[in-house]
Amino acid sequence: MSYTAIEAMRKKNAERFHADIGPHRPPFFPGEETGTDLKSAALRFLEKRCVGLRFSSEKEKEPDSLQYADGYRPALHEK
Amino acid sequence: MQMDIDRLCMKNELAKFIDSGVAEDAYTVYYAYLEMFIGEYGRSQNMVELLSEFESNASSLLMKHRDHYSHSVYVFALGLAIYEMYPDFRKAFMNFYFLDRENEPAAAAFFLKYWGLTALFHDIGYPFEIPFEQVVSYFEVDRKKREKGLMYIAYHDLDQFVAIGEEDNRQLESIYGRRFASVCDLLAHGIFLHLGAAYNISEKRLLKVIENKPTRPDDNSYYMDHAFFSAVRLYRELVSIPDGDKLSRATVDALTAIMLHNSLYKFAVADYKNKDPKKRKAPLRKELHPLAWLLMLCDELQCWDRTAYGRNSRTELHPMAADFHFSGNAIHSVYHYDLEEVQKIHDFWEEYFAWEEKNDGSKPPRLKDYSDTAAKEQRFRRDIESIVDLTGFPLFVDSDLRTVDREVKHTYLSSSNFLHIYDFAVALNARYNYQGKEEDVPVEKLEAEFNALSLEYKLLNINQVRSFARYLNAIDCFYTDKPVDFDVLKAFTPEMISVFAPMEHVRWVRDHQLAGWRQGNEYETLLVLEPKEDEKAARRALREQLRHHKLTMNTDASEEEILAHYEVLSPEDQGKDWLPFNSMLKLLRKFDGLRIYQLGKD
Repeated sequence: MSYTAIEAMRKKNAERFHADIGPHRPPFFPGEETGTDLKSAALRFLEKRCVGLRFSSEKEKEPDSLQYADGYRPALHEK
Repeated sequence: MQMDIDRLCMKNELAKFIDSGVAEDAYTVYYAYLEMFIGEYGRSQNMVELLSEFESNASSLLMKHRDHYSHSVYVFALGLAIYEMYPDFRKAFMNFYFLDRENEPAAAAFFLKYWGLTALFHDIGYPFEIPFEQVVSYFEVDRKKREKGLMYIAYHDLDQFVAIGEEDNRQLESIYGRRFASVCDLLAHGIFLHLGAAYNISEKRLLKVIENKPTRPDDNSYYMDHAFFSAVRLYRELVSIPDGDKLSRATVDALTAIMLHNSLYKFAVADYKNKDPKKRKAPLRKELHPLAWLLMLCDELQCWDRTAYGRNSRTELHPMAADFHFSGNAIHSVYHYDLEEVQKIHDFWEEYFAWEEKNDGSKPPRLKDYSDTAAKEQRFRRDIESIVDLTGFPLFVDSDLRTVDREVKHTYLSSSNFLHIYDFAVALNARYNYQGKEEDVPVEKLEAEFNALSLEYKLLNINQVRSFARYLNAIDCFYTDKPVDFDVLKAFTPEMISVFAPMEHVRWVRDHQLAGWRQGNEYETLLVLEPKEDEKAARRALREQLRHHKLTMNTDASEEEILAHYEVLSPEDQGKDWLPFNSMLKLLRKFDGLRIYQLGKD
């Protein structure tokens, strides 16, 4: 069993128990917030840029209707 | 539902991997990715584990071969870092896939999925290249060149391997407006769409080159291209997963990026080493095929910390570590070489300076990879620049010498030719339901129960398994599948348990801290309104909802404090830290030849 939306669960618990009792995200790794090295940048991508990543049933709209933008199909538009 | 915990799991496992670079830590990154985006790990187990197992068991006799299992995870990490740090790449990626630039998280999630598919599996076809190279190596020992007259092996009867099923072809038709005769046909079309006009190459020509890859290595300079097998093997895996994602353009882009990454792009498309510079085509621009651009860039950059298996690999000098700084719209890299190899380096520079003095127009001496990054020709950087267009995105390469830090590798005597991690974790989980009777339960049932767990709990089991070698090391024991002249350990003694049980408590607490768990027992004390008979389940649910556990400790706890904490646990709670390992002793017998031995016993 695992409840996976940390912030949503935190708000729900705060309403339910009238206190900010959790869950809380763990502390960042050293350098993760601003570092420009490989580890910091890769971890920051997962931590901050992917916020809202969802399970497949509700994931981002994609594939079937996915189109390439004009100008980014150079094989068709450029030579 | 947001997958925050799964994302956190992947982040934690990637952090462990970047610190160590070892295959066992790479394993959990693969595991997390497959569980999050593809389906159950168990279904794709062979695809992933065979790469590691074939490389470690079958590569020693090759002339040159280096690890591709950990390498692929480093490549994955490099791509994430580049996406994070370079707005130009993000822009190119979002434009290419027509993603909403106002919704960056959705674009990042999309990138994570398809970059993961591209990076993590780009080398899974190596098990098909290794037998070819083994035969070639037999002759190369006698310095026979790769040219006409060299005996080689090739693949035949590929029809089923490259076949596209009716349902999949219908799906592809809805995307591309046409059906495909084979996966080769699909790959050729996918590549032609992006690169055909820019590189003046026809779809027919691409198809011929791709079809010849497995059957006519003589048409490929006597090389067998693992990229072909990686792309087709991954296609087969994706379409075989029940309820898996439908094929999409982005999936096909991942496959074509993989197909291109090794030799197809360099030689058949760009002809980047043509002796006539005018016939060389321009390096690949990220706007043409961002996944292929990123894969080729990261694949070239990742040359450090790669286990060398082949005869010649051991006489070359490869960097054992690297530091990257992604800043100012440039990539700054420093490759670190082993200080103990200073003599080899000294000899190289003597030869190099003599060559400079001679100034006779001959080629400079080379000590691969050292000279490629250290000598002023900057061959490493120039090679990359001739493959991928780094305009506005310069690469700076430097090198230095340093002492190897072997501690981060946490290497112990315990070894196996096969990974077994998943099998052990499945069996270890069975201990909770079938204590003492695990051996009598069918493996399929154990696997189904394991797969019902969340990713977090699966990884907790897996990380327990992975710690086993470290604990054995602490009690002067080891496991191996080789027959060795040591006493077999049949049961852990109380003295042994007193050594490794506290270590397991530290691991358990640390893993919980990383996953955001805090110390607390509110789940036992807060008012829950469920009927009495459901109270236990409700309190278990509340524990998960709060992510509080009475047996863990908060993140500021030192190792000494965690060890002291273990000492005051009840015997029942202490048992949780060692009873599973008694089960491990029984479980190991299920795997042929794997036994635990004691050092120093007559």
